[in-house]
Amino acid sequence: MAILDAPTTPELPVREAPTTRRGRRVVPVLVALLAVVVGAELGVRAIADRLGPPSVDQFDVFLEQSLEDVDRLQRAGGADVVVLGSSVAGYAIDPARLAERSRVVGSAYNAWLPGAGVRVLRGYAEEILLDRLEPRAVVIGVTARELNDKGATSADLPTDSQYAQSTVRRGAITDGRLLDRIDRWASDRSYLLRYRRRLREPAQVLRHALGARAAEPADLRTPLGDATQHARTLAEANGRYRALEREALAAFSVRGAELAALELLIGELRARGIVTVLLDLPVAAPYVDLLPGGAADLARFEQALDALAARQGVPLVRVPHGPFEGSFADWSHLDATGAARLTDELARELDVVLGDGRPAGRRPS
Amino acid sequence: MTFNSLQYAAFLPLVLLVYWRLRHRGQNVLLLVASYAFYAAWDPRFVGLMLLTTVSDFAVGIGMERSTDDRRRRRLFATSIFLNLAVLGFFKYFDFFADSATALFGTLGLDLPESTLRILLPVGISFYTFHGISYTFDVYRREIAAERNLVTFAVFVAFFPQLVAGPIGRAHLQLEQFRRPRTAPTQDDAASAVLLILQGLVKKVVIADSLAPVANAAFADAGSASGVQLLVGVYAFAFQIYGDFSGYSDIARGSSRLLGVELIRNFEQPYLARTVTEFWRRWHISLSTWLRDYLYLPLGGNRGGAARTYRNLLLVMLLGGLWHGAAWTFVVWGGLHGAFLVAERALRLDRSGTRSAFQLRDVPAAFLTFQLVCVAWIFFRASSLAEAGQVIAGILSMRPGPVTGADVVLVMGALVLAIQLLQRGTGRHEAFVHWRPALQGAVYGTFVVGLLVFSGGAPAPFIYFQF
Repeated sequence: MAILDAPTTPELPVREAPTTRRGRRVVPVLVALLAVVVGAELGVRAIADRLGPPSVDQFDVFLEQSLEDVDRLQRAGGADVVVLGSSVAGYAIDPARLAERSRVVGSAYNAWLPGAGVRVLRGYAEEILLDRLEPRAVVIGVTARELNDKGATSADLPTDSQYAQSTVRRGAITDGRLLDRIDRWASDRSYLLRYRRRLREPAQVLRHALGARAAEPADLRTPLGDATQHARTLAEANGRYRALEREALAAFSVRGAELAALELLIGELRARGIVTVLLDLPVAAPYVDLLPGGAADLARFEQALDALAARQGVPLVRVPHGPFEGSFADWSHLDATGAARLTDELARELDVVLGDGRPAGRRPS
Repeated sequence: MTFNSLQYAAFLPLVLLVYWRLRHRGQNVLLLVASYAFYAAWDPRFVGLMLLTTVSDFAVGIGMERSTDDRRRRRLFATSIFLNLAVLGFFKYFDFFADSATALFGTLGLDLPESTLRILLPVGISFYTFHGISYTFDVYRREIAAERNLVTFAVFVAFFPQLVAGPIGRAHLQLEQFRRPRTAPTQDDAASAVLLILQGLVKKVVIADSLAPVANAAFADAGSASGVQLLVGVYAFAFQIYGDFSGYSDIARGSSRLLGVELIRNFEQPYLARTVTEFWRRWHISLSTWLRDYLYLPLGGNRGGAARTYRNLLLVMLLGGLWHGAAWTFVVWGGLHGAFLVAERALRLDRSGTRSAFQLRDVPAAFLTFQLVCVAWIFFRASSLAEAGQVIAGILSMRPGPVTGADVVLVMGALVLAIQLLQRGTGRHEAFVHWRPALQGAVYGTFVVGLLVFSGGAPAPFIYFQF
């Protein structure tokens, strides 16, 4: 430690030299400061259409797009039925077809979020969906993965804390902290704030400033019919998708936090007077091989779901797997044919559950 | 309550508003209340611990001054040092030594029961115990008079701008400032203080927090990330820790200046150092001077010949490493720096002591020094020696694979070097304060844009809070 050899005693407090008179000219300093901030704002506005969606985190991108859907539906009067689930539910239920095939469902919205477990879905439903869409019924579509307690953490999927920290979510909850509300207000007006997460990637910003356009994420958010492409895209990265699914099913257990969250969610829906339907989503045969305990784990999941449905007194829709074999894009996501078949099944079930003389729900214009 | 939180943005102005309406004694009482409230906002359970060491050091100081018996003075001195080190040792190192002993005996075939006592580390304990030890030493050496006012002394120990991460307070410099009435900052002082705070926020929020994900991802994936990715991660951490810690020091100095108290400069452009020896004159200056005065010199310094000097250097750096954290990675980090210092001294490489200007011909030496410092940073950042080994192996083997985040490291690294070159050129930490108003405004505007772009998340804690 060479400073140990320094002859001086510890540094005396250093007072900075006084500034010159020039330093006190506040007005030109403020003008220049504002010019830089306004220049940056205009610069971002000039390239905003090339930057892609304001969020960079894929979960946030989906959440943001879902929120846009929700806001649009809210303005149109809400949704009669809301479907909750991960991408498996997203690919499995076509909300337009559901409303069309059902006698009692006026409108439906599939509020799936990629990789979301029940804890994430519960937060999303309670904080945003239920108040804004005011549904008559909520369909909760699950596979064994969504109820696996360690699924999200072991496979780096969205956790409830990631959802809680999401800037999109914090900006969306109107009853959130004052700071969040101010942030949302400012983000609605300033491109510099709205696109800040994009702007944190200097190489990308430079590319966009030179004219490059960001890839459109729309193909990710509109799953139906694209499931095969989706699965192929994910599978291309050296089987990463399959590895991810396997990790999400590792240490399989359906007795903990996810099941408890599902129970709580059902209780809260009941407290709001919302009809709940549990949907055991069909999966392909190879899915069973991904479970560490194989068929035994799948049976455990089904028993847990049966017991929960019985305890809570909610209808459980479980379709026979046979007719769906050959209608999967991978081991869990249905293709368009499979989705149409399952949507029709669900429409029939909802007719039974909701169709006891109640009027049909509102249909968005 | 961190410096980069809204709570602090409300806390500091509130304290200032009342502070400058009070007389000297009232100011000290307010500072004491504010400092303890600031500390309690972290964890109120440890307020009593800080109070205990404060009262003990205060009483020992008076006892040593009153006594004319050298043996009694020595006993009092030893008691105070022992108490401070015992508190520090128990809370900071108990788990480390218990686990290390279990592991050591395990390798010898003796199974010791694993310690189930997990000690919580009180925030800032490494800093405030060093404040107290500094005071005890200075009074014992009769370099300063013992403080007779408990409030004044307690403010010195707990002064909130420097309480949790320094700069480490030195009694002979700082206590005096709390003893005498303070004058309100001039317009220049206030302007430079606000600029220091703004600059510190930019260093933390823009530089450090944007580099953290790059460093974190590389170290988390040390076993399989590409060699270049790991290298990028190490550089990211080097710039991150500078931004994080020097940013904290800037905010501490700025906040303190608004209260009429000057803190020492903790950083003097460390990454422009031409030798590791010079690096240690410029990095965490309050710690290195503390170790020099209270450890290296009492050990004999460089007065006992080359071998004794090398031993002292190594010992001081090892303990300096351990001061940072109770882990072998920090010991290796300190040991590496000790070895670099010994080598430079043996080879008489350091001739940079008095020359402060940085010239073009200094670039190769500064570049090489930076690489050596980065090698040591690997151990500082790694969660275990095995992880550090993986990082080094990955870099040396140049494992192929994708690289992300290099653009962020390049931009932020350039920003760090630009700040340090400007500071070196002007001799000021807020270098641009001399510039033309339009240029000054452009710099502030860039700061504001940077803070806006990196706003929106939960405030990330400062790295040195864990020490």
